Amino acid sequence: MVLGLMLAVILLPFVGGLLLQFLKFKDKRQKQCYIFSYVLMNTLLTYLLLWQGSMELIRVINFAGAKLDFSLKLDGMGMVFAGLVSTLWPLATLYSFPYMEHEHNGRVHENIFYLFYTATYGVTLGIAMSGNMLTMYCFYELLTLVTVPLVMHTLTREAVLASRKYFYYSLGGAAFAFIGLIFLVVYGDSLAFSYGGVLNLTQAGGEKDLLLFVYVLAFLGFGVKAAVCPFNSWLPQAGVAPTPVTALLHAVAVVKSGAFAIMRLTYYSFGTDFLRGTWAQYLLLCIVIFTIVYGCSMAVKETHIKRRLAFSTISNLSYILFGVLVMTPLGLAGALCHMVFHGVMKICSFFCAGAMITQAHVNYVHELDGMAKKMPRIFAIFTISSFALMGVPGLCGFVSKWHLAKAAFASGNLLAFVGVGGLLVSALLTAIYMLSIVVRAYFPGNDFDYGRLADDICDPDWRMLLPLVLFVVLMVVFGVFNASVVDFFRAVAFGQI
Amino acid sequence: MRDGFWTVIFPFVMCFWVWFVSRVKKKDKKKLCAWILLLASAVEFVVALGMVLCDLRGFAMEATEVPGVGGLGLHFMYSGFRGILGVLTAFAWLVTSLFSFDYMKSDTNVIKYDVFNLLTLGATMGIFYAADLFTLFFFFEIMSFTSFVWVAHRRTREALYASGTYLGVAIAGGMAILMGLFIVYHQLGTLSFDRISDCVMAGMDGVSLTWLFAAAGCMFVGFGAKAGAFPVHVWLPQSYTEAPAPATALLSAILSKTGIFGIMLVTLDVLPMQGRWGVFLLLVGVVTMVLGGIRGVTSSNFKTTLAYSSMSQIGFILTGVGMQSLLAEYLAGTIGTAGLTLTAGAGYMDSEAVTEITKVFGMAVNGTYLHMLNHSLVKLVLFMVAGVIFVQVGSYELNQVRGFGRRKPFLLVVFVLAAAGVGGIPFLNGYVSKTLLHESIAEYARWLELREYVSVVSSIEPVISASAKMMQLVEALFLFSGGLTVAYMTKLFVVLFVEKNSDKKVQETYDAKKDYASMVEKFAIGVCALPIPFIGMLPNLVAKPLAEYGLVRFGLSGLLAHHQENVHYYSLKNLSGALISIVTGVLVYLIVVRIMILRRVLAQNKEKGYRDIFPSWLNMEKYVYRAVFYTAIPFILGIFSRILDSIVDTVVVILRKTVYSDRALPYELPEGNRVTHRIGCTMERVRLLYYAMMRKEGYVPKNYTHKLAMKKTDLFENLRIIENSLSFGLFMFCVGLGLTMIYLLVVN
Repeated sequence: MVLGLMLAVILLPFVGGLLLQFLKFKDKRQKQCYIFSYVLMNTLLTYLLLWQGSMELIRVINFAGAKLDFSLKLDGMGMVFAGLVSTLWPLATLYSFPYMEHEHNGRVHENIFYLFYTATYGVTLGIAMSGNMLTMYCFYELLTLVTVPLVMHTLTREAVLASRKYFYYSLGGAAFAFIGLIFLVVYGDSLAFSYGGVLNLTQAGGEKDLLLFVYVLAFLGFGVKAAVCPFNSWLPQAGVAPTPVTALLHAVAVVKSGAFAIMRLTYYSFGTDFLRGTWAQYLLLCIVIFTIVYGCSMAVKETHIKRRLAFSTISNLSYILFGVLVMTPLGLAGALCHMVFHGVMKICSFFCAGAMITQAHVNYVHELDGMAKKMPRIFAIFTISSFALMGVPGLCGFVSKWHLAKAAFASGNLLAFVGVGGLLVSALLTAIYMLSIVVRAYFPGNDFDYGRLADDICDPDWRMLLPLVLFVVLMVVFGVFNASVVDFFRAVAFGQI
Repeated sequence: MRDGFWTVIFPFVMCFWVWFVSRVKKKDKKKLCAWILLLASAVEFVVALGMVLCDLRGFAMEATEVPGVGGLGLHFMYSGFRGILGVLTAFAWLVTSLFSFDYMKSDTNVIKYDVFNLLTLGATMGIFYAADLFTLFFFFEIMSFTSFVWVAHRRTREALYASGTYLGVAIAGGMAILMGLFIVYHQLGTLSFDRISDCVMAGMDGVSLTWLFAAAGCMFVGFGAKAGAFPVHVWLPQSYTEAPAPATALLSAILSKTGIFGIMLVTLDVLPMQGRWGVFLLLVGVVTMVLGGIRGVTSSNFKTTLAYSSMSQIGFILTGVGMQSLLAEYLAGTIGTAGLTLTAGAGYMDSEAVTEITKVFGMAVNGTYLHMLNHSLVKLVLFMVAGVIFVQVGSYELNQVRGFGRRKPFLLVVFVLAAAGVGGIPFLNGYVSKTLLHESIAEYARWLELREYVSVVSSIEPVISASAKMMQLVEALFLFSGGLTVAYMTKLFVVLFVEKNSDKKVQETYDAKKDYASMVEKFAIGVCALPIPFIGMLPNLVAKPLAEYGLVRFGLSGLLAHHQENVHYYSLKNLSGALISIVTGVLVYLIVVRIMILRRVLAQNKEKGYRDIFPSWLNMEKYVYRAVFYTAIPFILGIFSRILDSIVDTVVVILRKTVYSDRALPYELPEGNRVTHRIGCTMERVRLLYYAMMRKEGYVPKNYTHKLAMKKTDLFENLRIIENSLSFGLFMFCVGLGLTMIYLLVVN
């Protein structure tokens, strides 16, 4: 029953997308209803799964060898990620309808687009529900394959280049991750995820440095999707994809899969007891802290709206990885917190940017002067999401940063202290790159001629606004009444769920 | 409920009403919004005052908690000090909203102003009634963002520039406070003010003083920025100049005090009795007051002068806070730390030394506290006067404003009261607070020199961070800054009321203006000016109870309560201090203003006009902060980023050029195939070489490639013909047979 449900939520979006290619619809409205209904259905099924709580490992198929299973499992970590993804997907789908209507040559490949867009949903859930490293690795590779066509969607020269880059980076990263997988097969008791790690320490005793090196390789390999510093340049370039893709995949699903895989690798495979206090931790902390500051600095310099947000994502993903690398349960709790909260904040700001792009046909920050008068709702929401990203208390960004910083201080690790400084510098830079947009839109200056703006610029329709309003509600609720959510994360991070 | 929680929430609720009105109503909505603002401020004032009265009548004040908000929950509490600051805040809002009733009438964006005014009111109340650092920080951030809209309100290029600086400093300061918060939380495990001081005093295990100093330093950046303390004051002059007059009045009177409030909490709770911190504050305070004073004297803009005056007065207050810290350390050194934790009335209280030190300590605390109140009142008056002038003149430039105040008795009275008040002229309020501060510095300096009262009780040699020489210098600079205050206030007075405008026609219009301010505006200004002489004339009647009430349950109040004596404000010694300041002020005015600033600049009638003589290259905001943050850091980080960004791509390119180099793309030869082409080219080259080496005559190309290509075509043509012929088939059959034979032979 449970296994069937798990397989159903993984496969349903793909099957639904396939059927879409063959079904005939009277008009686009009917088609949209169909797409939305199966996505929503999938979400409801996922909720049903989550309702049943965490469960034991289920072996589906056994490949050669005792350790090589295809197995599924839903534990606390998986629940957090699955919950995040399944909540955001229907909203993003709703948003994508009006967006894709505006998109240039969108009509032609629309069906194909939705096939891959929804198939990614299933694959991402597969990553969340993987029971062991091998299963996760398979879904991870699959995720690359189904998302490449989405990046390529517009078929412009840039899009093809960006998708090629994304493809090469991801496959290259997966190859490094594969090395980690092999070493886990050799040195681990099993491949299945279990809190605290599966390394056989007696067997691994003599090879500590080698294993640490492999961990660093695997971390960086998965880190490609999480855009860790030297491997980040695919992410801003992938911004050429349509906004629903950039917002959902390149701010939540794909990049968070990378972060999620790293959490699994660190806490459930190698184990923090093995890693804490080693050179591997310090090296990776340095890289991650640098990425935090680096992403923000680049965002400040970037003038393309979506690319600016992409750089911001790079920085924020490293917040999550920073929490992971603190290597204490509190750090993991902070990382989970930021994974969820950042998902909401970033998708919200991306959707606002998308609305600006479709409604006003602007792509650069300097074109936004005085726009707030024309699109008051979008800019009000964008302002709130900016404040949340900056970490203004009362909104959710502050909560996750607070927990990250608290964990860092509690760990007593000197580099973690430096990391807190990095977080604050990054918050300052976040304020600069987000608020410069807001200030431009609201205060273009006395001599600004509002007549310059086209008359037909206005707020988008309800299908775009509804998800945005829900995100704002989520940001405020998470910011103000977050005790239960944070307690849940903490329970997960301590391995109780 | 009786702890200020509702005064915090109420403005936020009212703000929704304003927003609702602006949405729904079509006609007269500006007026209605202004009324709502006025109503909200009035209710706040009544409630804040009511709380003080309740407290005086002995009703217990409970602490309110709003659990869960922002993770840690918001906590509010009431104490005398907070109560009085709350009343002051509500009062300032009340008078400025009265004032803006007429002042903002013609403004198009007045509703936005009203909304953000209310939000800022709520946030400011939240700061003053906060019971823990997190609540304080929470409202501090809200206040920073909402008051940003004030600065940007006029939307001129200058206003936007100033607001950009304001926002940048505010956010950076906010982050610094957050860092401080993290450290304090990590060290002490709590953020509540009561428990912080308990933890620090008790000397909890694992609490490192270095980290607490780091935390205090971080928080100083944030709170000091809002107050306008020296290295982080850069936003202040521009922002004060650009914001609308009522907003500037609030910025200067109340918002700067939130910063001071934060610094005081840090000084008294996080680092109690740490003299080194006191020395730091003292230095910052002295630099701030001297620098502010100098820039105030040299400025040629009415409002900018007032802005620098604010900065200078904040320097006085910071000096006072620093003195508190130093004197507390002295006290602790004298009777031992243990003695301080005991309540008043313990055995130590009897010694003459302790009596004397606590008295002087009380003077420092009272002086700081009173100077905060005095400065608020004075700046409310002065900035509202500036607003009145701006409406009539349309500029703040001294050359334009010149002569405006002539034949306007009301303006004369309130301006003189306020200017002389802050200048420390006897019988006005500033004199009282400055005397208290000066006395505490002078006494302390004297003790240090004579080494009096050192270790009367405890036998250990106490730690004293300050030296006698330093304190004497501070005292001198304190008096000098007082002189600077007198000088720039004299400058403004002379410009407004004594001199005539260089343009006769303008002067005539100025003289003719009788309705320069409405009754409501005059009332608002008058109400603020009224307490100024009152406090000055009856210091022991007004200042003492006020200070006493405010200091109950604040800091080391237990000791203070028993040693409040009437200070002889108008003794010869104290008057002489004021006299020194006034004489210095007059000298500075005569030398700097009359000789250096008044130069021939107005060409049309050869009259002397004012000009700013402060060298423009000393502009810290432009040449230090903006240069570093906009040019230097992005440049350096940019280089790093570009390099890192291209690492992977570079590796790919290098690999492509070396190991993974592509084969050349095959291209169609015009004729022949590759072999003929290669051979042809080679033969051609050999022939060329031969000609060049041996024959040494003109080279005629033979075109071998072409020839070979023709040959190849012929050959292939023939081959095809042969292939297609029957005989070829038979021939191949024979070959096949032959091969089979050979195979059979070999195998067998």
